[in-house]
Amino acid sequence: MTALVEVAAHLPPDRVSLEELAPRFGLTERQVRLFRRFHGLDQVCLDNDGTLFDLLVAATDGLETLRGNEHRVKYVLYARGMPVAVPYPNNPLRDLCAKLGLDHALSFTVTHQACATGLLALDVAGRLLASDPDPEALALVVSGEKTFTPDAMLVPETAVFGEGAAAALVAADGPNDRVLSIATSVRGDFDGRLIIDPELAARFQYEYPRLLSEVLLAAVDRAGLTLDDIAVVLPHNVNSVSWRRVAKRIGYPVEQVLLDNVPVTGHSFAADPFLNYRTALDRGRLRPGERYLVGAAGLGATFSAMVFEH
Amino acid sequence: MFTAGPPSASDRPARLVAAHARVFAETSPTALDPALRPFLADLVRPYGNALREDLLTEGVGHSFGEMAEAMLPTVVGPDEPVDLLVLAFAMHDLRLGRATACYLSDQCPGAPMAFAVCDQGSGAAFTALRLTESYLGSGACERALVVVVEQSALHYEPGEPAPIPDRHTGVVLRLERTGSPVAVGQHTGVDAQRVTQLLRHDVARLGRQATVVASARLAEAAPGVADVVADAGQPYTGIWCELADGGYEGVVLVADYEPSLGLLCTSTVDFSGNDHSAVDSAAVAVA
Repeated sequence: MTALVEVAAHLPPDRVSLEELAPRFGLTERQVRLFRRFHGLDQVCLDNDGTLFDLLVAATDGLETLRGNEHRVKYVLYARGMPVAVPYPNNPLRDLCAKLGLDHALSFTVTHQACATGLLALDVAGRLLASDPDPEALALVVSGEKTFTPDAMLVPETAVFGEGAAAALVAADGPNDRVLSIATSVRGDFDGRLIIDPELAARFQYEYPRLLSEVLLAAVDRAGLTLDDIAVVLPHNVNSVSWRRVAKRIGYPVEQVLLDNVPVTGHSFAADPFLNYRTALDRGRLRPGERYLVGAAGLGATFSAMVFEH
Repeated sequence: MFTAGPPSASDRPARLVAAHARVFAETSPTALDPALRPFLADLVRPYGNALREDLLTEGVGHSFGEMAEAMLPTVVGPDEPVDLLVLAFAMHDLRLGRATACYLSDQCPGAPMAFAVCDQGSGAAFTALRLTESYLGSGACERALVVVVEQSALHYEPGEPAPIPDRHTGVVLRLERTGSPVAVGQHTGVDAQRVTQLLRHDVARLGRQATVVASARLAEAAPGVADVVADAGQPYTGIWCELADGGYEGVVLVADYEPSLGLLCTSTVDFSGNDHSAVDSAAVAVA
């Protein structure tokens, strides 16, 4: 049963307020106020002077288990939300593997599920490990992206992207944070750029709570559980209000949804599940044996949820 | 909706049911999308690549989504739902911000689970096949498509030498649990001196006659091994075009080498119709 071995989070040093970001996005004073009061946003973490490679290195630097176990890492997956992030043929993942002494590993990027790609990467890593004859084999999943273009900076009236990054070591089996189920709904009928298509944005916002709720409930059901068995929900950090709506819709206590990072980090693409896992762990929100539900949605659109046992 | 429990080991090979390749001569309307230039400018700015204003003005290139959606009806009928679609590419799409795998899901019967594999050069298509095998072989899905695409327009100067296709090509492979067995092998950490030896070893371990289809790059790195050398102008789809269009019988071993990653990949397809073929026993290897 796929299990997390260790998760490390990196929040870059530059904390930028919504007011400072407003000119870059062309946000009015009213829109800033709306983001702050209604969506629960305040600031985002950016690495103004750093590259994508720097972000991924910083995330992996926090993995204590990696040191001395490099030889066990057979797969390195980059969970990337943006379909394109660097000019061809630049390959920060290859550079990361070289720096970490992981040239021997099979490295590749999974993408096209936007901000739900983090959960996809865990599922893919688990499948590779399950078929690997070496029970000691590990997979390294990294995530985190640069806010380099308007599509990677803002979801209108919904979210502001940040540059948090994360790294997770994954094993085919283990005692900690075992994957019980996954549910994914791919909805390509939401293809398009919300930033220039108000009609599509409105339809997406309208259908979003139902579609996200469906995968959350499906993942819980697939794990053979009910929502009463779920101790914590780890969301993606899109905003607070949408998660309040989803929690109300599925009848889950919103105070058990970990929204601590929404005002602090911004929406860090596919890294959010890992960042929030780290926060939950560090703040004592997860106790041994408890089951927790991780949810994410990505533009395009993909809705995904995973159930774990801590 | 795709749902699954904890992943389990794949206990049977994926099997190839159909393969279709197509070269696209036309240019996509996306090539003249006003959104292309600002996105490209943002993409290259931190890395200092010069934009190719000539190509931007000319309006060249093709989008993966438009190519692949045109091919889907050739490999699956409207009443043949697909459970999984994996898109593989090396050089990026013309439509930079689109989650094309997701878009294709909406164009495909069954609205399958869909994602893309990249940043692995020629290895991405093999990884897509390998992942497809893991979904099919563990019972997580029944029918899958692997879509391998490349398009020829790079609207900036690359920072280092890299293959650039000379035409737009797509290949769609349909895989299920019955059909011609497929096995994928991936050797990592392979320097150029070891390529020939490893490739010969992979051919020999099949224990029977096989037609070896190699990319032009691999054929140069491992001279004398390939029976068929794919078109060098199709660096990421050429070998798959050969597989789709070659009309092969018996065992075919498709292979490529990605020197930037030291990655040697093989995929063996047994068209002989023998369920106990050499392909069934060819273990996936990661060295």
